[in-house]
Amino acid sequence: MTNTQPCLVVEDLRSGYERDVAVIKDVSMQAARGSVTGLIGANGAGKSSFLKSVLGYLKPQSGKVSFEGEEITGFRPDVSCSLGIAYLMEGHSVFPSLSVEENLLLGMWPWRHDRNRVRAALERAYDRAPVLMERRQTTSGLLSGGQQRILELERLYMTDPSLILLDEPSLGLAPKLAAETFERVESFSKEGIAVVLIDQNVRRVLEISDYAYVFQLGEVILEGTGTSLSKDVGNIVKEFI
Amino acid sequence: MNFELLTYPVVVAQFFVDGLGRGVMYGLMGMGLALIFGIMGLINFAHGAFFMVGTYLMYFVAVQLGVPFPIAIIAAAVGLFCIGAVLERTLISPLRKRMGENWLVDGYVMTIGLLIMLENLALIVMGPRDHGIARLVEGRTMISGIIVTYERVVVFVVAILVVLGLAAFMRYTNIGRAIRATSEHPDAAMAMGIDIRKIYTITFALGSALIGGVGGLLLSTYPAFPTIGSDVLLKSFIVVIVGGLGNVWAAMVAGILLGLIESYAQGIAASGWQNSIIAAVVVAVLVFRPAGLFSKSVSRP
Repeated sequence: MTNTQPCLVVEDLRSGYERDVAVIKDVSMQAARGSVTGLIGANGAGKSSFLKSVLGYLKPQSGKVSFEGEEITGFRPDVSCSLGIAYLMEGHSVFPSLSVEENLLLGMWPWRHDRNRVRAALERAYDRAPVLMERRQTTSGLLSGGQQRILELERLYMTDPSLILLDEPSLGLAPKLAAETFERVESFSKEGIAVVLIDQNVRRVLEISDYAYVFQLGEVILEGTGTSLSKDVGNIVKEFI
Repeated sequence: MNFELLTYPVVVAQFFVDGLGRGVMYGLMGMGLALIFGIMGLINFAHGAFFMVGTYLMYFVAVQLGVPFPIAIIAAAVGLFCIGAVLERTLISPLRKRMGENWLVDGYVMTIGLLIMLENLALIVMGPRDHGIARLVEGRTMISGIIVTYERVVVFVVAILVVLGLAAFMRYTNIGRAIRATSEHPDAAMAMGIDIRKIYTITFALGSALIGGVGGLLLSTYPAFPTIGSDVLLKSFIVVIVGGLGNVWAAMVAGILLGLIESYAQGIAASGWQNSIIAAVVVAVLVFRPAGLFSKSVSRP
C-alpha cells in the first residue's frame, strides 16, 4: 500500500440482513488518505453490503470499524457521515423534486448553521462544476443522468470529507461521462481524501487503485496493490467476476 | 332535485361561497393527514382523535381560562405538536426501529389503538356532553345579495396563511428541505448527515399540530365531544384520496372541491343525496384516477 496513515480500518467485520445469517464474513481492510482502495467482485459478492455495514446502514454482528483512529462500529449512518465520511450509494441519490442548489445545501447539513462555510462550499462547487451553477434553480430530477452524477459527486465533496465511499459511480453513464467520473474520483485522492471505490469497470478500478480487495460470497479472497492485480486482471475477471 | 335554483345567479353564488367556506375547512382537516402520509408513509387513523383533543384544548384555554381565541387556537396547535412529538418518539419510532421496513401495518394498528384510547379517555374525563362556543367571530355581511359570515372569512384567511406558511417552511427552511429530502430518499438523506428519526418526529408533530389547530379553529362548527373526530377523519380521508395521497396542497384543493360539491348537492337535492353524491365522486376518482386527481402518476403509489 502506498499510503501510511489508515483513515478507515475495518477488522473482522461480520454483518447481515438477518440476525443469524452473515452476508459479510469477517472482512478486514484499510483505506488511507490520499489513496484509492478498490473493492471488486461479482454481483452479490457483498461489496455494497460491506460499505453499508461500515456506514451503519447494516448493523455489524461482530468486528470493529475505526475512522481516523476512533471506533465507529454500529454508528448510525447520519452520525458516521457527520464525522467526515461521504457516501455515494448505488443508483441515483439526488432528491429529484429539490432544486440543484437545495441538493447541494443538503450536502452541508452538518454545518448548516455556519452560513459562511455553507456559502464558501457552494461557491467552490459551482466553480468546479459550472453546469450546476447554470442550472442551480432547476429541479434536479430534470437533469440528465450525467448531470445528476456530477451533482452527486459535488454534493459529496461539499463537506470536505476525509473519506469517500463510492458505490458504482459510473453505473449507467455513457463512456465519456464514465471516464470523467473516474477522473473526478482520482482527483479526490490527489486532494488527500481516502477513497473506497466499487465499480463494475474492474480494469479501470484496478488502474486507479493503490490497493484492492477481491470479494466473493461476502469474504475477501484476494488482495494486493492495484498494479499487481492489474497484471492478472484477466484471470481475476474469469475466476471471480 | 331542484335544478331551477341554479337559474338564479345569487343562489348559485351563495352556494359557491358556502361551499368554498366548507371546502377550506375540509382542506385544512386533510392537510395534516396528507403531510404525515406523504413523508412517513403512515396513515394516521388517530387523526380525527387529534382533532377532538384540539377542540377540547381550545375549549379549555378559551372558555375555561378566558384566553383570546387566536391565542387559544395557537395553544391547541402547540399542545398537539407536543402530544404528537411524544407519541411519535415513545410509540411509533420504537415500532419502526423494531419492525424495520415492515413497520407500516403495525403502525396502522397502533394509530387505531390510539384513536380508541383517546376517544375513551375523553369520554371518561370529559363525559358524553359537548363543549363548544357559539361563534369564533360574530357578525356577517351581505355583498350583492350573498351572505358571508365573518367566521367563514376568518377560516378562509387562516387557511391561506397556513398553506402559504407551510409552503414557505418546506421551501425555505433547512428542516423543510430535510423533510422533503427524507420523504424522497431516506437512505440518501441519512448519507447527508440528516437524523431521519428527528425528521419523522417533527413531521408527525407538525401534522398533529395542523389538525389540533384546525380543531381549535372550528370549535363553533365542531364542538368538543369524544367522537367528534370520526366525521373529521372520514372527511380527511376523502380529501386525501381525491387529491392524491401524501400531497398536502392537493388536499386543500380537493377539500374545496368537496365543499363545493356538497354545497350544491345540499342546495338542489333532498336531504340524504349529498353524502351519496360525495361517495359517488370518491368511487369515480378511485376508478378513473386511482392515484388522485392531482397526482402525476395514474396508479396509486
